[in-house]
Amino acid sequence: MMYDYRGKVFGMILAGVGLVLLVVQKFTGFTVSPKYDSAQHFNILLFATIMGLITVMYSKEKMEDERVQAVRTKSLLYAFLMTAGAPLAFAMTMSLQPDSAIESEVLTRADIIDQARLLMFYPALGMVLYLIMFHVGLYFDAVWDYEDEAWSPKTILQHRRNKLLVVVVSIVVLLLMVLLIR
Amino acid sequence: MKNTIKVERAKLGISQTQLAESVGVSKQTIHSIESGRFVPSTVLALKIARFFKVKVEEVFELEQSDLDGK
Repeated sequence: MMYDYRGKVFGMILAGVGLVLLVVQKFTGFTVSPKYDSAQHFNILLFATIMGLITVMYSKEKMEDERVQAVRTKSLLYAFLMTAGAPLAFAMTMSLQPDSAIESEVLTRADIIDQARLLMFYPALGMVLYLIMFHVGLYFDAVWDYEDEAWSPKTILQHRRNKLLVVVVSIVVLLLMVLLIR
Repeated sequence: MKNTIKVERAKLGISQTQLAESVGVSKQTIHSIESGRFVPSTVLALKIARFFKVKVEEVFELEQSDLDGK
């Protein structure tokens, strides 16, 4: 599921150009299309930058050996922990504030509580998906981790039962989570 | 786990880079293995031993902490 090294080069160029344009757009407010305002242009450039970073993230190193994979796994785990931890901590803080501290003319207490819940939902979703994939891979599908082509069409077809298990369990859990937070 | 990769390299007069290229890993990986910071997989350990034309037990040795499971 990873791009080869050229993906990393492409991603770095995309992210780099995106970042430069982001900074320029922030200070000058330039627009290219009259259809979108300045803030929308900023978001489009931000999206392009993030897509560049994702491409880098999912690209192999020039020399992709087992140590690189071990480092990548650990880095992803710690980065995810911080990504999940920050919004969770913020959302809990928001949820527990006294009424007077959080109400404003625009947002009611209920709005803010709902926003906090949504903020907690996204890292929770990531964690749940990771746990599903990890445990299916660990207990049901030895092919999962040890083959680079684990998600190629041929391998998916050969091991369709396990891949289907992940998809079905993920959808069920996702629906339950959505019902819970509504 | 202890290893004698540095000694074996010295016997053959080769660098970390040359060894890395021969067994298909990066120089940093060889350096990490030599300094005991990274434990290679079975395949990589066998490749390294085969390159040096010795048995894998002559290059890699378990330490007490490995046996205690720490």
